Amino acid sequence: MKIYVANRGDTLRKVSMQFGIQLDALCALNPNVEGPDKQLFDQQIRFPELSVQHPLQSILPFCPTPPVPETAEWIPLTPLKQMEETEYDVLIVGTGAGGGAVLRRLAERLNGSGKRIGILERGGLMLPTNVNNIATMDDPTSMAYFTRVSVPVSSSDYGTRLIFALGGRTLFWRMASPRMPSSFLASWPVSQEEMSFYYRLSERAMSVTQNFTKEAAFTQIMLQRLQERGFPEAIDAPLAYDLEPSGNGLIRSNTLFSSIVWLAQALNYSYDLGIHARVVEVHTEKGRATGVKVVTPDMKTYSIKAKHVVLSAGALPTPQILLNSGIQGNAIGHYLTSHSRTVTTGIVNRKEFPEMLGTLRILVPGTGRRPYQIQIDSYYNYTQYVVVPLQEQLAINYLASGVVESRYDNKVTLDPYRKDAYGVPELKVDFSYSEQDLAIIRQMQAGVEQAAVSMGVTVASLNNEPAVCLFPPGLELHDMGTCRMGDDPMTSATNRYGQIHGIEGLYVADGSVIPSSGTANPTLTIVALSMRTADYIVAQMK
Amino acid sequence: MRKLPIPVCQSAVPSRNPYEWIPLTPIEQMAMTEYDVLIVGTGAGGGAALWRLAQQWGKSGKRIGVVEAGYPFVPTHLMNVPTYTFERLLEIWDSTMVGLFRPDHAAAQDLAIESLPWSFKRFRALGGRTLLWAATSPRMDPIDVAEWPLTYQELEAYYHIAENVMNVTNQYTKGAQMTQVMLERLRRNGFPDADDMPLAADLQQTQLGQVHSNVFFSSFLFLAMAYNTAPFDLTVGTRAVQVLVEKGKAEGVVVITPDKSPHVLRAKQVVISAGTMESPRILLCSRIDNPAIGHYLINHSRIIGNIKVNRSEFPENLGNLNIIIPRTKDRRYELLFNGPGPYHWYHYRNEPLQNELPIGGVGLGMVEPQYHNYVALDWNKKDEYGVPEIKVQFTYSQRDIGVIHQMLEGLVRAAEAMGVSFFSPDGNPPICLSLPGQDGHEMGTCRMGLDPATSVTNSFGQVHGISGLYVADNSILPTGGAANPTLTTVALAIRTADYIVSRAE
Repeated sequence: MKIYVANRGDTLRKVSMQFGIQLDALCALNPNVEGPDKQLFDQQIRFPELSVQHPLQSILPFCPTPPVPETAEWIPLTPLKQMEETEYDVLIVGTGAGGGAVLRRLAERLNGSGKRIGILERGGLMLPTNVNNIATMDDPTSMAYFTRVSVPVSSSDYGTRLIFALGGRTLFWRMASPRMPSSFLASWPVSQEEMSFYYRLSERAMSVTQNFTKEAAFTQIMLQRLQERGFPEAIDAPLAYDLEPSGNGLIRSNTLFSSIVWLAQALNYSYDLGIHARVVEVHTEKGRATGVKVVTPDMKTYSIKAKHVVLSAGALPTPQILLNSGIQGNAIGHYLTSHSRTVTTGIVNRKEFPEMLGTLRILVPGTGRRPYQIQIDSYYNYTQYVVVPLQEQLAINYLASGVVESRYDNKVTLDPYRKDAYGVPELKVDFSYSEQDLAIIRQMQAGVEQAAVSMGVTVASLNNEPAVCLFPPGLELHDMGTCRMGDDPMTSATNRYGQIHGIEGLYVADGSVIPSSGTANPTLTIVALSMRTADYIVAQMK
Repeated sequence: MRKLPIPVCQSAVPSRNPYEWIPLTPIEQMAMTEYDVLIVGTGAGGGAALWRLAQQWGKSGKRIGVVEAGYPFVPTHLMNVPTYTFERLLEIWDSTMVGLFRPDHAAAQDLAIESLPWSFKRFRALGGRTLLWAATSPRMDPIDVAEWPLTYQELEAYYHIAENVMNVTNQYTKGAQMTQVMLERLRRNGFPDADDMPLAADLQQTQLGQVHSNVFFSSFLFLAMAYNTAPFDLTVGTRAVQVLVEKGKAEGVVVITPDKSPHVLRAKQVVISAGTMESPRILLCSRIDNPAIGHYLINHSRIIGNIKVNRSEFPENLGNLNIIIPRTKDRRYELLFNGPGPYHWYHYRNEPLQNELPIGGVGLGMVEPQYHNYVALDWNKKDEYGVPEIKVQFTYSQRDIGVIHQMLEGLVRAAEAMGVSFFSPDGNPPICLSLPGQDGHEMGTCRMGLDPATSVTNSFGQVHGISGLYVADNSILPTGGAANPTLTTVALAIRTADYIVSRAE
């Protein structure tokens, strides 16, 4: 047995490298030392008898091995215990489209300012990318996966499903990124010019493009038919696809957008991310937000302090947090809206199209006269490795989204009798279509059938599914309006910047602030309004 | 509720269970199936064999089963994950690799061998180590294949297939000023064979419905391609512990599920692709009588140099640096240069302009196969599955140490040729030697060859004397040359699959 006296900075790991001794042998001889990375200055270390410096060491020293981190996930995480010790300048609740957009915008605007940003996610790390970037996924497979991992809202037959995971529903969305047509913006408390500015910012941040179908004969021929026969507004669908090739070190693997991209971009700025952190209450003091109460799945509670709190938990969970915090507001939870959604399938003869078919993604946007939009696509939009045999008939899908009136009686409330696993009262959802909503559904379906005629498509049942059907309310996942923005606290929950009326430092940035449904898929609009709220928060800090 | 004008859609999408990113099959169901081929492991070798069998057999009704000991980890190469950085990839390599193997101290004393510290480690996950490999995909030099039981022409045909399916390209550095300037300097100053590094990376643009979101190749893409070509059954978290052999023929595999219950999976042909440490363990646990199993363990000796370059020598559009100097007849090592800093692959990284940029220089040296470098079973120590633990004996020979000397000299000469200097980051040595195992290139423990006394499999990966039993992973490489082994392992695994298909007819 030899004895070695440790120098400053020595650890068993370092010494094992330096002298060429197997680390586990060294640990076994020194059981009193707590682990291989413990600093051992001036301590005696016992060496095995045979050990001499290995002859190889005379050529070159062994490479240092860094201490092994206890956990390494695909994104840096901060323990909630540690987050409790920080007072954040901004704390964001939720990592979907709204929370992700606020984080990215704040990171960009506050870079170098020393301001501290925290972000909390109720769920865990499910997927590091949009599901359709994964090689095994095609439409039916990713739908089956979504069904397995998503959660319905309990005590409700409102059909929406929630994703509790980093990235939220942006892990599963289908990239449709139209702007809200201007005729629907007229009643909003934000000017058209301002919306245009934030739409441009959002489109750039999400890589929204109409080039995905640029060279696709399938789309171009169908567009021409639509445009010539009654649908001059039809366009190549605007989609959040990064189409650039990789090279020179720059990797473009996130073709289909998810908010994970923003969480990654924001890593250029430092922020703390806590996961498995369900925010159940917002703390307020004298009309000002001071932080949030967090409960973990193992029922530990944490109190995290912040000067500005942004709720981006989604149009159903956000009012749940506000109501559970006892925050009063006539409109909080009310004016729940979504889009009515019909699905129509049809077929067209393959021979009408040239050899190089390409893919089909068309948008017929809503207008002042048309209170609905139609998304037109075909199967196999996301294929990577699927080999499709030559078809005789091509399948066409029409997804139509109709305006739903904003009504006080469509609402979410807390169920006084039922609590969830975290001790939070469950949500009750009251939602029905009005006569006007039903009239729009009829008008919308007539529009879809007219579009099919224009395109030379025969409406037909495919795979024994009905050729035409109506989604149960909520299932299209476009929940909006439960914390709508406006100037009048009687009919709105937040002001025009997303700040809860009467409470400083408390903001909402998700689908719940959208004042009226319009016809457009809400994600791009959520992002635009969230970036605007982030800019407002930065202005408030000065 | 008011009367709705249109019938309500029935929720048509059933949830599938068990289900991850790819459908899984319950083990009870697999235990009732007789497979045409059962593959153990989903890394480069197992993945390639699966893909080729699926492609060759299509929907012919042949049944393929796949057993993976690990679990789903990430559904793509980690370098495709946008939150990933070069530094964090090294971290996850360290934290997910598990060092479970013990040194065979007694043998070292018996053999009077200088004990060399090593760091052989295990990584279990769906897709295996291909989830975090560096994607460097050079071919072996023909001189290294000369002693193998197949001709270079035979191997070359399969290199073409492997390079094609893995998207191997030398275009990643096309137009990158840093690479082109350095290549020019190297070629002018004694390294005429320096070249753009071949990388398994899909650089295509997404268009017309073809999404190219999996840039760096992983074996998960083999699974995806197979999944879209032919049905196969997959179970995860299930460990193969023994091959059943009856009258010189493989009959199936004994597997143990996480709740420690054993199941027998029947198969006409069994492909073991569990890796260089685990594949010989499975064969040894099956009491297969062959003196070479587990022996002739080789790796690549590896040196790492920290190099810095002056930013002002390069134009505004810097680009990245990925250069390979391949092994030649006179050069028993390969040199690789990556950089600058973290920019040889990045997503959204944004850092200020630097005066000096770090680049990494790596040397991979040849290691000669020796009988007394081995993995063996320790029948006295069993793991939680009741499987004997692995003990390892490994040291470099005098000749190996000679190669390390040459390689060090070569790295210094190449740096001179590029006009760059070495530096010591954070007090660490400017050039250092990796512990064996840190290279991740362990090979040879089921080496192929003609003579059953010194080899485990024939040139098709079939275990000598046992029909229907194959090995398809790094362990069958009889010598390691100095080329990163993945491409060669994939090529040979595809060849093994073709052989299985031809035998099944």
